[in-house]
Amino acid sequence: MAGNICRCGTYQRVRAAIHSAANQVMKGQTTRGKA
Amino acid sequence: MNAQVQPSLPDVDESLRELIRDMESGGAVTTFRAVKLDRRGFLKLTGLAGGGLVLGFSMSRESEAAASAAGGEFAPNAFLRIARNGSILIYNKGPEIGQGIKTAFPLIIAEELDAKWSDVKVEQAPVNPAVYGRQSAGGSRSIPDSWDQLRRAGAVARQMLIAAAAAQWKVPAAECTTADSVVMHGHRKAAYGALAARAATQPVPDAATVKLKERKDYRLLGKWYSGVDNRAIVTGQPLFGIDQKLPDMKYAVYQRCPATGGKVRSANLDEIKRLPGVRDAFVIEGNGKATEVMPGVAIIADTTWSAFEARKQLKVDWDDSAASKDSWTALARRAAELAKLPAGELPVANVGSVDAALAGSAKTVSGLYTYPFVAHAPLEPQNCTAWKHDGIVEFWSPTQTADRAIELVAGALGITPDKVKINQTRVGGGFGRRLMNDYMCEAGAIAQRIDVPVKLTWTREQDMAHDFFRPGGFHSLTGGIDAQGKLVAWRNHFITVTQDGKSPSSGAGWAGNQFPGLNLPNYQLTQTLLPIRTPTGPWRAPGSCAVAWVIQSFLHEMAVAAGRDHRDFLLEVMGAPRLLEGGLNTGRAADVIKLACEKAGWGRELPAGHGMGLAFHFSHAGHIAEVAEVSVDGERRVRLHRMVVAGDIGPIVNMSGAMNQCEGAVVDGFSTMLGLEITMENGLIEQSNFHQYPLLRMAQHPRVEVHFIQSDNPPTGVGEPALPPVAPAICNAIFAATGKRVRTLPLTREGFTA
Repeated sequence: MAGNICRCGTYQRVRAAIHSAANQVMKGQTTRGKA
Repeated sequence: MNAQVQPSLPDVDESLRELIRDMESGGAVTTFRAVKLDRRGFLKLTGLAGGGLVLGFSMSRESEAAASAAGGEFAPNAFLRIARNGSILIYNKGPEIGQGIKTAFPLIIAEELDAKWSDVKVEQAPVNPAVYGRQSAGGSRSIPDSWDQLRRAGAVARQMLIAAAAAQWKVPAAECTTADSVVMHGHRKAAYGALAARAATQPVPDAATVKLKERKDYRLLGKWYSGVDNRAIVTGQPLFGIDQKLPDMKYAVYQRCPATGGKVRSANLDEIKRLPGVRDAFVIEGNGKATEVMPGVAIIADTTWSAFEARKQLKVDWDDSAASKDSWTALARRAAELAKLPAGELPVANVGSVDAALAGSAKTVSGLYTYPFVAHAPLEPQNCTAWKHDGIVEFWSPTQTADRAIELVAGALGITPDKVKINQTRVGGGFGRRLMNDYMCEAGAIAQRIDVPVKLTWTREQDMAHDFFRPGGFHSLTGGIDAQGKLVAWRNHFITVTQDGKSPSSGAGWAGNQFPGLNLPNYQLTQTLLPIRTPTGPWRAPGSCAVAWVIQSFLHEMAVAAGRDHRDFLLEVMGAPRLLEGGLNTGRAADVIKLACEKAGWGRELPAGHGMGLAFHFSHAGHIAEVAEVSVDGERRVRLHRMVVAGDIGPIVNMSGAMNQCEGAVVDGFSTMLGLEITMENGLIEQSNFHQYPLLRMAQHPRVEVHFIQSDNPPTGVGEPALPPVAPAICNAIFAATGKRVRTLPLTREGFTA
């Protein structure tokens, strides 16, 4: 994500979303995680 | 001063100044601007809405609601419609520029309606200020200006639903209650959908006297809501201006003179017209107003690609004899000379006797503060779709000022306002840039030449070259402290820019009643005006976005000189709790200053190389204090670890939205003060794209914590007020960490890096 610009400055939430998605994948809670 | 005489754009700048005045009006007081609608207004609205869409009535005593009740729907006013199946459609009247108004406005209506939020669907309202009142997003005024109007729109509907249920059950209306889209009485319950048809036949109560909820009874407001468009955004739905597509649409580019004020002598139009995909190319004389249509060359093509490629082949012979020759280095050099004068030629404010107080001070400090021009740089470049058809010109526009655009565009095109129809799209970033509608006027002018819809798209480079920049400025300050360490005198010679030679350019002024003008026994503010041609305009928290840095940094300088704790010193200057002219409430200010310090752990031990900095600013009716924690390493790399924001903006509508605005303001403020500047030489803007205008990236973003003091004070918007304290809090923290005082922005000018 380092190359992306968010002009409205939502980096904190984007980062939180990445962690949230990563955790779900780890726990097998997403389709991809289960596959 | 012997200002170079240049042709100016005074009328343009006056309209921008008026816009800023409008945005800043009622800084402390909420005004109710609901518009009553008569039958003619109703017909006008439904005519505009077209396509069989029946919106209903605005808030009117006239009991005509039955006319809109076709199909058993309940449409008590132009803001909402309840269907038989219980679904509630709410129209968002304001421009959604990423600030979250498309979620916040419907929440306010839903709260007073006592609706279940999951029953609500939101659509963008037609642009019709005669029905909706203000339809602009600027000055953080959306919430305060519409708060009462929207609450009453919801409350009127709720009262009619109760009346319908009471009539059905033959019970007194006063004994009925509501919650989650249901009216209740004893054991009886009726869903809003089931009551819709009957509610539509009830008399419409007077919106001005309808009962509103108290804050303690809110069920929806103040909680955390995702944006109503979030799913559509993350799945790439065409919501934005630049996404618009219409049948048979063509695509246009418009080349203006790179230096403001230049005219077209000639261009290789015949050659351009022969290029693949090009339909037409022509010169537009324009009316010479930067806010409307400047002279240039338009190219219409089958695709955006063809149009952009053709533009690369365009050769224009510009007559730049009357164009801008502005030079930032010349401005800065002249300002440095003028800064030696204790006062400018134009008095702005004078309290007590500054000269005598400085002469009698135990200690004085002087400094020259300099900040640059900056660009708005929204990620969606300016664009607009226009279509001349059936005697009107119809627009699909990502504008912040849909209401004002009607008359502006009509005037620029020489048609009457009733021949202009505007559709509001989502806006990919405003920051003040889209308060101006120059790209709309250009699209309208181009659309006059073709009988199909045409979309004008600017390139990133054009967007950066033809902005209405936040003006740069220079403040020469001297402050005095008495023997007890109290701040007793403040003198500011503000060297700023002007278009007309008489008053500061749009966004370049500073009022005498701004802090600390009314907080000190001796205060003097004077101005000197330097003429420029480069268009300037409102940029997120106009004036405050730059001057708060000067004031709150210099105040810290004085605290340091006095050997005092910054927090205590700031609270002392704020003084006893009272409401000052201009809206600053010193009690609310003190409360947020104390809260920010408490949450940040003000005064605690920090690791080596770390420092903490405090700043407060009041703007747009919002009281905000911030504490930054930074570290600076041996290579002068600045890292912002944490920013604590404490704000009092009245009651919160959407907690997620309000926090998001503060988080974004911190990133924007940090980004801008760290490394952004626009410079110009010989009238040409020197930065063209993000490689020269490096917006903050994810790796540098700080942790932001936001705390609100919720009160019954009138609510205000928070798109702007959290930005001004960012730069001074960071610079004060840099001083705490390094002992180095930053008096020039961006930080890169002082040798710092990210």
